[in-house]
Amino acid sequence: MSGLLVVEPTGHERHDPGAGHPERPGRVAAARDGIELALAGAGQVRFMAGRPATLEDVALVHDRAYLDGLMAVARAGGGELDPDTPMGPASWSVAMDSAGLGLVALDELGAGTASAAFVLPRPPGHHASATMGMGFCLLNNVAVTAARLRARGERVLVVDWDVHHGNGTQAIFWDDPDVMFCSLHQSPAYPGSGRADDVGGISAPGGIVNVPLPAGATGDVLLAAVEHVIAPAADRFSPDWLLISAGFDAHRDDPLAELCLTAGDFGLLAERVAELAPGPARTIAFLEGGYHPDALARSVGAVAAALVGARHHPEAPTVGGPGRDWVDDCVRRRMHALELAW
Amino acid sequence: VVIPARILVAVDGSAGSHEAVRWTARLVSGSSSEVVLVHATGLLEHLRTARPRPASAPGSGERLEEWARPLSLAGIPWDVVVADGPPAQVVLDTARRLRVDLVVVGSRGEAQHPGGALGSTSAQVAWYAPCAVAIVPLDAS
Repeated sequence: MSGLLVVEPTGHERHDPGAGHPERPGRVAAARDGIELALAGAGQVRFMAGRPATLEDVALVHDRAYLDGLMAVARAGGGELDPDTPMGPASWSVAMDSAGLGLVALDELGAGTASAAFVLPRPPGHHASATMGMGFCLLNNVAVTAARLRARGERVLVVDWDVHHGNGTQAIFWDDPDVMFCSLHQSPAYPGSGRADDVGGISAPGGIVNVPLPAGATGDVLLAAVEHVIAPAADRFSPDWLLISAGFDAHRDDPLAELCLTAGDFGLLAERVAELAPGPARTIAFLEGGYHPDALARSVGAVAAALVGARHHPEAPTVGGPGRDWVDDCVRRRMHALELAW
Repeated sequence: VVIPARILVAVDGSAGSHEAVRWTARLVSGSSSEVVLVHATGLLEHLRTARPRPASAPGSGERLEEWARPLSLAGIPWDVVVADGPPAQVVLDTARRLRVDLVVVGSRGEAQHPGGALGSTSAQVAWYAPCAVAIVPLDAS
């Protein structure tokens, strides 16, 4: 079957960080609305409910002591991992549900039921490391799926275009030759990591690709970053799967950062990034950040369309923002760091 | 008693960090020690700050003045570092970069960890700091 599979969490509303917190339950509904608007009329989308990950699944990327700690916090009625990251009594089970969405998508794509998948976990995951949750994230959803693939002997490319650096995913796969992690992110910004000369560990030099970008950067700058930095590295890596950490907080309306993308930019970005996959039914996008409901809906719709080869641009792409020189600088810094690593 | 020459104090507006600042003020009073406050900017602070928001000027100046009041009242000069990131990482990175002699943290910052199930900022700092660490209890005064 061609078309997009969307895997949704059930009961995620039980994880509610509270009034005023931007990572709110309505984000999933906004993303779903955006996908329906973009694709439902063409019959190119199928929605299905996910199922929870097992403890063994998440233990492929998280330390057992950390997982035990999360369970204990939930059992105690909740708490805060940091001022950004509250937990309630249901947060552990909601996080496990979310961590399982990508695994469901893997099974479905393997069975040939769709040409690409978009999963909608919340809370998001890319800031969670093996031992620490932070930045709204408890379990690293994309890493759990990458780890399952890696355990099957497959090579995984993770492209993270959330406006914040995916420090957790980077840390988990820092020295893993079978997983390449590429990030486009605003700098300086939370969480303060993601330098261009961070290229990976001694067993996997070049396996980390960071492109920091200045506030105000527009879509053309991110496309240049993919073209000149990420695509050459990804082509050399030759992945079996493409996983996208699809954050939408780089949208110009998002309250948490200062990049200036539109839905059209996300659509073009997804078109180019999707070309890095080895073939059909090998791409899964994971919802990460994105905190302006309307911008999130428009942007998710644009990406959903791009994943099935369609074009849906409710906002025009942008050009002319700062940062093109940062991309060139990134190429130089990365080359220098790799010379030292090798 | 030799007072450390350069002291880093982690601040986040919590009662624990206020106590850490008060304790530091008493410790260094009358000495020539250099005091640097460090504050980690989290994701939610972006919502509380008017845009545009360069990370080097997070708009937290008034709060920092308030948090440093025990030092100011004692006539102790202080400096401040504000950086994006998780608190423990920011404190540790700053301690290494400034080559401080002592890190002071409150025993419980703004984050709460029921049952102590997860490592708190103070525990992580104590574990990984490149120098001595003072963990100040809430009732130190």
